[in-house]
Amino acid sequence: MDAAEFKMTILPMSRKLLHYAFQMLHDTAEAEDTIQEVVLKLWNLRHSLKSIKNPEAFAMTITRNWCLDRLKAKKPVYIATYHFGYDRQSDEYDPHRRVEHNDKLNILHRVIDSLPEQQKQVVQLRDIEGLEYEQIAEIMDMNLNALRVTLSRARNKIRDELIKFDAYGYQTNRNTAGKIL
Amino acid sequence: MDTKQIEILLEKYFNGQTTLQEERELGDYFLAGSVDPDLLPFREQFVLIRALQEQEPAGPDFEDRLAGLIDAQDEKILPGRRFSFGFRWVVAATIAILLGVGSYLALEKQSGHQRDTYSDTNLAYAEVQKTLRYVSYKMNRGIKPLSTVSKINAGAESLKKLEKLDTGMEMLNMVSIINNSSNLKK
Repeated sequence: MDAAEFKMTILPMSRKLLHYAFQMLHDTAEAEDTIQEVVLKLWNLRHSLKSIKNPEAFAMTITRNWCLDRLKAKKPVYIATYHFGYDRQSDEYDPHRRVEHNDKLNILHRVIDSLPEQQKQVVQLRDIEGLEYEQIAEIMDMNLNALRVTLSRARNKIRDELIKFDAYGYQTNRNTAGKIL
Repeated sequence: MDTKQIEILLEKYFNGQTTLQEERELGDYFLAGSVDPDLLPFREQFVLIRALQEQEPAGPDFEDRLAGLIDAQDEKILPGRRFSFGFRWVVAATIAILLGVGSYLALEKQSGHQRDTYSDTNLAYAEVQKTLRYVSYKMNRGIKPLSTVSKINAGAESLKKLEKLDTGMEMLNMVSIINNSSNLKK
């Protein structure tokens, strides 16, 4: 694989990889550094990339490992210091709504971060990065059934936590939620 | 999409059974605004997850920067492709000097006269033959031990198989990455 081919096949994935790294690291600069490292690594492996069945899952796996290394090497990441990079929300003109929106996003981040490691990763790969089950199973080295169970637990926990945060004003609806499921 | 259908999708969603398409439909429904009051408690989850999906963590030039990085790597690997200005002059000067010395020697040879050292040509012929025979004898004696060199060649041939090992090792490299990931999980 030469430079031109590499740019055509691998670089288009970089945004997705970056997005994923950002979800894990919560820091734009760190996520960019990580993806640069990942791309260099892939470049060094370029001659064997063709024989890889699922290059995207492979790239995501490398990204995931790199992020986990960084998280392990570093002090805990403080959720309060997120800054939402080039976030372009439509409610930009209303600072109040913007703050509220970001607060809610922070709550979701906190909820996801509080999940057990495996649930957290599965939710990130599925609900945020939008990967197919097969790809996630490959990245996480899980079978499909275990993956669905893990995902189901994580989604239920997120729902419960969000409802808890929002309990005020939604008391009655909470009962309905219980009824439906 | 009616409420009943959404409820079915929700149940699938919380069981981890939805397809990506169905998950998109759920998100679209909750973002559209006209949400059935019974389903409002689920709204937050889908709205916030959509917001996370749409976050742009990098500037628009991120991919270009990566492309630049690859170009830089590419040039590092092929340094012979581009000579520096100075190096080109060195090559040109070397060729010029070789041409100069070569043509000087050639001209010198042409212009020089050769004088015979023998008056009898038969005697000269015999003398030359004797000398050549001597040289050939010495040369053959010198060449004999060199025949073992061909064995080294045969050995080197089989070393080519090592290249295959090399590509295999590269693949193993990837395995170790995957291995790493499973270690980390533990």
